[in-house]
Amino acid sequence: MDILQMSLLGAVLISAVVIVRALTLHKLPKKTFLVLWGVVICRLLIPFSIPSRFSFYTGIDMLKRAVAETTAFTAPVKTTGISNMGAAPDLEHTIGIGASVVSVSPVTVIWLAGMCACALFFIVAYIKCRREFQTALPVTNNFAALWLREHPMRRTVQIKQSDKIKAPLTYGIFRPVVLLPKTTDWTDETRLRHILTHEFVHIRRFDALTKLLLASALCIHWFNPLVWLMYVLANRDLELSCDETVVQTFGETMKSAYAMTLIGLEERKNRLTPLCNNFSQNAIEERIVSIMKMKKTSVIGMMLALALVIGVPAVFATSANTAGQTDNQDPSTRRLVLLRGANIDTQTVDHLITTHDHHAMSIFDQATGKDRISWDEGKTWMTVEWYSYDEYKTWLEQEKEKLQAVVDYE
Amino acid sequence: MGIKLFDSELKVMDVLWKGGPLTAKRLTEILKEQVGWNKNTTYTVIKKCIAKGAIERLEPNFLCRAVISKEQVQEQETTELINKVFDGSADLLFASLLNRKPLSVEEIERLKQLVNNLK
Repeated sequence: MDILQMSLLGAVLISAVVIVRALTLHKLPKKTFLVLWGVVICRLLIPFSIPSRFSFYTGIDMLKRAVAETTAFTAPVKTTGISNMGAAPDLEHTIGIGASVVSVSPVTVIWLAGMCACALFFIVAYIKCRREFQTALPVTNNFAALWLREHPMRRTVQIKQSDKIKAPLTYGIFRPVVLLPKTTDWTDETRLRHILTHEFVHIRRFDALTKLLLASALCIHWFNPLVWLMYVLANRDLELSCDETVVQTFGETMKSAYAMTLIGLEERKNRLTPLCNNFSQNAIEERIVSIMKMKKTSVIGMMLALALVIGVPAVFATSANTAGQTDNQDPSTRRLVLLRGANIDTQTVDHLITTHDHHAMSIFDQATGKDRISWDEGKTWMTVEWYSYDEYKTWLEQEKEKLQAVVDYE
Repeated sequence: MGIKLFDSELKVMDVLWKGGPLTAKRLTEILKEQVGWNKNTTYTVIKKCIAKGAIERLEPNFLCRAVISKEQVQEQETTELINKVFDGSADLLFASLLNRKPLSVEEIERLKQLVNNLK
């Protein structure tokens, strides 16, 4: 199962990024980490053509591929002509030779179930929140209208208020809505400016979409604890990077005022709302520290950031890449999975012969004292009979006669 | 009785208080214009109001009728405010209102009348 391999490669990359992040969080521009998380996301999602939370289709694709494989591999068995065909006895009743029954391993089933459960959780939570948010009322405030006029965007942005939320948030990708709590102090324009700038940075950067990608990676790799860690940290870094931009916009002198706005919002916190950009969602302490420690990045800092952005993927994603290229035909992983399904001890595989597009496996069957070979990765097994030159010649003569007889009879 | 209505629900109630019983369809049209809700959103809020017992659904045509009056809601909200912020004493609220800004002569006159009526 190549998803396992992808997850493993992803985990290595995540570990690297987590370490780099821990060491340099307050020293480098926060965008550095966003780029690194981007690489991680690519690593985790790319082999799937549609990185979507509706990954049910990914599962279907896998099934289709499984069907294609069982049928495609019947052809070479006939042309080998090594000897008579026969399935290994203990395999015959689990996987019929010509039956081409789709057999999905229990591991795959568990994975798919977990993925569906995860996706369902996100979808249900999102729909629930969204339905609630849509009942928000328009803001009857001059400042909001003025703000919208001063900050035009290609997408239509709305500012609304709701008495169901406690802290400002933004939702929607194509028609984003900034939602402010009803309790917002509309006279405190400095604060409002902070909040709206922050939310507009989220909108401009399509952070909602990024969150969707993060969530889909989590759904697919739900069994991987490091991906959960990535989900949490990457979400935090989205906020940190957003804060950074806000501070840059207003100038460093206001960073303590901005930090105070954040602390003020933290006093009344929202419940969990996935896939929405919360203003005060996570790890407030980290955010405050990060804002207060913010300063203009030095040239050395920039160079270090650049080195990391190029270096980390180059080191950790290339090793992943070479393994990634063999995703489809990596004999070692295939062998393990398939043999486990076929109840044969891995160690009995003696040889692995790889031709240009198939690999054969051979085992020595102790019960019959004969070699067995499989061209379809353990689904069907043929007994190998060893001939001397003369024996083979005799056998060939016999075959010729037999065939001749068949033709004559016709 | 304590029906706690959110702003969105109060908005729907407000339309009903002003316009009398309306069909759900008419409500969606009005609210689309007033606050830009789409049809589903309005129906969601109406259903919530029905569940809370603030709106009664009549047939035909999903006719919506306000079960509770604006005065009931006002009284309830005031009571809550008194209990929450003014330690359950109405006179503290009253004092707070009086302190807020100078009252006009008419307002003072009306309040006096109110007190006289309640005597």
